[in-house]
Amino acid sequence: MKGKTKERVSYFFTHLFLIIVCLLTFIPIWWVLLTAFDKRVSLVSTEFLIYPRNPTVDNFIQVLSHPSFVTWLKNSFIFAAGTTIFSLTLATLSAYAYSRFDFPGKKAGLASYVIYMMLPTTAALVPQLLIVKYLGIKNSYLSLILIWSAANMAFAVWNLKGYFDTIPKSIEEAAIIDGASKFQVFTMIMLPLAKPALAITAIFIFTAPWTDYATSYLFLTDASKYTLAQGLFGWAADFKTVSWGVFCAGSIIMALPLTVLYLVFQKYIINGLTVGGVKG
Amino acid sequence: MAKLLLKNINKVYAGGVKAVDNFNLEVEDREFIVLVGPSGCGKSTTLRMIAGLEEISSGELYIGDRLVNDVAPKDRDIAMVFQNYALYPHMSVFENMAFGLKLKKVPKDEIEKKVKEAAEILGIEHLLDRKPKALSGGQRQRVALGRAMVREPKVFLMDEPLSNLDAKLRVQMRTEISKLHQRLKTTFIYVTHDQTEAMTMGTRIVVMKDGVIQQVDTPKNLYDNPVNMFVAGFIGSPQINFIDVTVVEDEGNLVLLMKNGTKLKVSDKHQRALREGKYLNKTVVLGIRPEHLHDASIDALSSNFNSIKTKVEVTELMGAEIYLHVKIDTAPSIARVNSKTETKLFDDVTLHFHYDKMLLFDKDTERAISF
Repeated sequence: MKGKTKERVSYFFTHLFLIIVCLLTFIPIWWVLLTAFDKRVSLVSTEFLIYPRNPTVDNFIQVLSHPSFVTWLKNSFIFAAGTTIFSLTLATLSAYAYSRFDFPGKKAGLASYVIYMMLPTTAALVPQLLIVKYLGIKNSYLSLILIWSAANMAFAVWNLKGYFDTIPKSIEEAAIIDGASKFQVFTMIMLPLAKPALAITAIFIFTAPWTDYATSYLFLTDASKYTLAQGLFGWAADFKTVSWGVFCAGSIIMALPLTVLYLVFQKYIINGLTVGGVKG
Repeated sequence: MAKLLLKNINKVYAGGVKAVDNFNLEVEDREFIVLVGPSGCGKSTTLRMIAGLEEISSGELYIGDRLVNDVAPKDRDIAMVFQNYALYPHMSVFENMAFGLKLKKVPKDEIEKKVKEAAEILGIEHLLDRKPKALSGGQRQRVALGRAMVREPKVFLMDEPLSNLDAKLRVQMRTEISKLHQRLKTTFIYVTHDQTEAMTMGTRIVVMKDGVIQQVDTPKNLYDNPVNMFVAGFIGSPQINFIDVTVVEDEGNLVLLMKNGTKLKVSDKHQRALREGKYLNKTVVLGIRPEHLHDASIDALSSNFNSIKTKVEVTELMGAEIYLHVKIDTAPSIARVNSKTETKLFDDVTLHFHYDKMLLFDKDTERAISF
């Protein structure tokens, strides 16, 4: 009986703690939502609202009708999608090789990724700037796609390698005996099985360029290539004139694709696809 | 359908570890060969070399009349069933079974026909649309068998296919695989560490230890005439009893002297073998299988037998029979006797055994002293 009471108390406090943490996480998001959907002007109002007092979608209309908004959105999408496709392709091939083949320098290669991850991104900025200049690709989509891809490779390779490692070798061997070539094993067996890991990795890679500000600020001087984050901040940077409602509406619009991505990929993230193929 | 010839096959891993040592075997067409041995004896490596999943370090492997050392697995005309089934989790049962045929570009209607035929034989027609995760262990194993069957291979390779199943299902699948072998009339090579599987399924058994073949023989011969102590100990359950005895002369005959002074008579054949081998006054190992020890109280032998008196230390009732754990001299031994016996725990018991059921081994080389 005593044990049961103890269990209940611990259950109560665990959940109380979790609820508080959830609220703390949720409050800023709620605040942004309130500001976007309310006619208030200040983001730093001391007045705490639970729901918008004067609900409006004017802020959204204003953002969407900004002359450069579509350009920024398009740019962000090109950068993020380009980075995702480029680095995911390379990382998948690389991770598969690291997971399945033995070759000289395998350990050193993997270790170098870890070391690369330890370095602050800013340390690479100047060399990257010089390389971009040297290649003559300044202000191009390619320049930032390359930079963001490089920044995400280490994580992507490690993440995918970890997943490939969990796929039993016998499944590949069965396919080889069934007559599949190495390439077919990769495309017909390994890739479909790695869908959950690919989804997670894709979301992470996509998020980086989509939400990045510093890199694009440094590398892009051509206003026609501005990303959404860069454009919105440039617009809001003028604190005297900016409408925080508009700024928050812009942020929500920016967060929307990521939310949708997460919802779309959720089934892969939650489903362990390899369940059942080998003994459980 | 094909003969298989393994000639001086060796497998040496990087670092010099020798997994398979000079493996020679000729497998006849339609034979059911079982490779058996403890973990790490090289049986799976051998199978994987036949499949082409593992490179052969040296030696020659022929399937039919073709040297296949450098032939890709898909061109060897083999099919393999893995221990963990290795089904493709993202494909339905039908797709799993059809995968190999699809890669071979077999026409769709033919694929469907073959898959359905195999599914019918295995009793899994109703599962064709399911994914592997929605199947039980036994069903998954059937799918794995089906996937191998539809390819109509010359040789079926099976790597411990039943070890992930529960005991009851294992017995059931054992018979089914045997039936399948009779039905398909193809060469089967089957790897297991379970001697019961080996004894019940194989037409011939290859016993391996440390990468070396110990004996290749029919189950009965392997059981009755093991070439060494390892084979004698590995085959048979409960394990054979080994007792150290000294060969002495008694009234002109060679007898085996136990440490407790008991003298055991040996058959004429063994007499000759012991004399020829110059074993007089040497220690040899007597092997006697638990089922050859008879409880004299209910099952006394009448002629050509030895008798040992001992005490029951543990009893294990198995149903129709009972295992009496005793000490013969100092060696812990088991007698497998009829459960009708009145002998109970801590009782004194007299055990009888025929001369000709005795196996004798050289103490140093562990090889059988054969006649």
